Amino acid sequence: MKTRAWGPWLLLAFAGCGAQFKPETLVEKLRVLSITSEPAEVLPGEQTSLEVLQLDPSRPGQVTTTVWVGCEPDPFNLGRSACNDTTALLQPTSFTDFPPGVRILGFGTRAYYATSPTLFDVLPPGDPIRTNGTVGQILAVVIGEEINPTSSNEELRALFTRIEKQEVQSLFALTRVLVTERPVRNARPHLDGFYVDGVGLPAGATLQLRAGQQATLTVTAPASAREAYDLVLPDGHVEQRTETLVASWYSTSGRFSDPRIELGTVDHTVFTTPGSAQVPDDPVPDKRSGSLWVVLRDSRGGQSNEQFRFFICDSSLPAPTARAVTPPAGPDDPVVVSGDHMSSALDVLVAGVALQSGAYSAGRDGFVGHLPPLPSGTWPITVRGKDCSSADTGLTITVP
Amino acid sequence: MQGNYGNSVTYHRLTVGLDQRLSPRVSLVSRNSVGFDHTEQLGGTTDIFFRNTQVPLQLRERFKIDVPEANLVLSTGLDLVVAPTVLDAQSPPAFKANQIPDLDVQRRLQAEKSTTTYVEPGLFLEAAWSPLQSLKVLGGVRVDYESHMKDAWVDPRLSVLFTPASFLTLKGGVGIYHQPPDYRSGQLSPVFGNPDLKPEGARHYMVGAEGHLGDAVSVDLQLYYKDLFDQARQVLASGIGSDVNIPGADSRYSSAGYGRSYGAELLVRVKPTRNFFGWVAYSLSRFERDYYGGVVYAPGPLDQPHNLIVVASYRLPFDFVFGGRFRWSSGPLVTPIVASLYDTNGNYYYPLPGLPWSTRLPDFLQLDLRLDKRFVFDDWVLAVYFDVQNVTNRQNPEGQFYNFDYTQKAYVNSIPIVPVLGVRGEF
Repeated sequence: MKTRAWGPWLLLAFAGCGAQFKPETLVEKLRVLSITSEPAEVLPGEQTSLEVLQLDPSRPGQVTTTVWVGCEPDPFNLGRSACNDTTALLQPTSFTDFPPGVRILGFGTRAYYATSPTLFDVLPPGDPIRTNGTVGQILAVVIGEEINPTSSNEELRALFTRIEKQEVQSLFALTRVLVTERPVRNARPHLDGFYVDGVGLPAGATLQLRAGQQATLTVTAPASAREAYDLVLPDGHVEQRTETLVASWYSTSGRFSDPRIELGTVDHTVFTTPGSAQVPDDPVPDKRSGSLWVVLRDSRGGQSNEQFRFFICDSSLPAPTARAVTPPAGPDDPVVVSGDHMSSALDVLVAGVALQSGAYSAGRDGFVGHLPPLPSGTWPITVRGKDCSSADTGLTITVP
Repeated sequence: MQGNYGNSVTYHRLTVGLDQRLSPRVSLVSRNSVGFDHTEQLGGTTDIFFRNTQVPLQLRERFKIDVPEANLVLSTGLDLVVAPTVLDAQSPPAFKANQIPDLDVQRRLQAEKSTTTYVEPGLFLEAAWSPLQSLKVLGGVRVDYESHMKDAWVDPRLSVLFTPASFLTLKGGVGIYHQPPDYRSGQLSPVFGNPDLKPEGARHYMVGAEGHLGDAVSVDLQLYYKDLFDQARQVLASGIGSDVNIPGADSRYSSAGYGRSYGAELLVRVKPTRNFFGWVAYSLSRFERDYYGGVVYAPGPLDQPHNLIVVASYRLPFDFVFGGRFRWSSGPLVTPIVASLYDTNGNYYYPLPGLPWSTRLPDFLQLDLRLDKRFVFDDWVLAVYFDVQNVTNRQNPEGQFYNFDYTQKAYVNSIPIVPVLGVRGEF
């Protein structure tokens, strides 16, 4: 007997998948986006400067403190340290017992770290770890309140106890500094271009975007940012490799099509600005303004970051019209650009570079800002408006 | 750093079997094979790979000797595996359970290239003896050797079945079992694992009874206890940086793992009648192991205390058959994430776990119903069925997932209600 089945036919499709979380690119609460170290790679005993990019839009105007905890590297490159020990991290008070190799580096957004100069003395001269490196691990404990940098050990212990009990808002961030004896050490990568829909953003200027717009954001890095380096393979051969660069995007509102992109493979992401009908839980923010951050990482631990402000244009505002410019009387004086509807000015460009700390001043009835560093000469002035306008004013300013 | 994840397995076997009666009392069952296996795994970057080629020769020779005057059946023989193996592997050391992994793997690569012939002979002797009609004794002993470990072990086993009445059989057994640690995951590798590991062992104990309640119902009940010892387990990274200056302190695996499982299994079967068919199975069990380098001893992911299945079907008039299946089991255990840490190099949040397997998700409950109808024609039969899985549309969690920083979580549920209409033709 032959059996033939005509079916089964599924009459009801599977239900949808439930929870939708907000994307990691959205910065709404206490966050660390990057920790840079300069230099990104050090010799044993050499000092590096650390800086954390920390944000907390949920507590505007309030103080956030970072406590830096440094751990001595494992010379055998096995990663053994309290800084990446999950048991210790779940009991942060253990750090105030200062286990071997652990020390407090300091308080604030910056700190300095150096390893022992004799770190590699336990290794034979030709050991590959000397070339490939080991890592110094550093914790940035970011705390949502002001901490006295002269805290005693008892006060520090009390603070970490509160962190352990989750009585204070805090965040642990781990970074690693590469320690090698390589003659040419890793340099931090950096961007050299930022484009919105293919047009370069003037230096220091604010992005003019429309509500719900899908803007293509492109970043570029110089070829020199992709450094070549030697790697000793397990069989002893030395292979030359080239770094990869990955850019990661963040913003206070809006959504990215690609949260991270590998430069050279993909160079852009599409930013859907707030107010899009496709993203109902992403309205235009109260002041129509926000920030974007891009963090650039190379494949050996080098990092850099840049912040860009954006403004969601308001077409109901009149376009600003500049009629006069008052040059600075002295080196600390600002430039004042006055005219009609200057309160609608978003920023003012001199020679294509935005005035620094620029803002409308009702008292001076004009847009006030400081000149960016420019070579001597006479430079044109452009006014960009909160209505998305951008106009050459015909005015100039002379830089002596 | 770039590459692809990939996994390919090539498996060939040529098997020759021989069943031969050598004399009125002695027979031979022979199963022999030779194979060619190739496994290749790529680990996301070109730096991580595992290539293993094996030509295993496997012999299993079993002699069965019947001694009817003593109500005895003996089985003896040889299991032999000879497996020449070529290994080419490169990877960083396995990440430790208590260590946040450094994703810059290229800096910490290790490699192993080796050609090894694994020889694993096993001799066994089993006896089935029935000194009384109501008593059956099964005994055996097995001796194994593993050339790579240079270790041998002896596993004795004994079980007894006693039937004091036609409606009741009592049974019990004990045994010791061993197996080599999982060499496929590198546990015995001198580079990635520990070649000095012991064979993993278990002691099994079982008692039970099979009985009949009248003609219609049979019951089978077993109680068991398994004691696991010398289990391979990963060694944790040294605590709090205390031995960062101790060279070679990374032994990766030890044989200090232990655990146990115990429970009861009950099967109640109703003898099929013309119209009714059904059975009920229930198990009550516990599985415990040491986790987190032996720091925690607790129920593990395989622990499922309750598992009930009820199956029944009934033939209705006009060739309709209505049936159903009900399942209830304890929810799976998961390890809760109690905090997280942002890894600025890897650009991701690393979850900081609470006690391993300490949170149980809600129970699994599902009712499935089915109605079959057969239309019988002269030359063929048309069968139509309507099957509804998860009739109550219960959301049964099978796991949970988190948002990017592990501050929010949600369940991954199994299937919703799924009605299916099927048609089958039998010619």
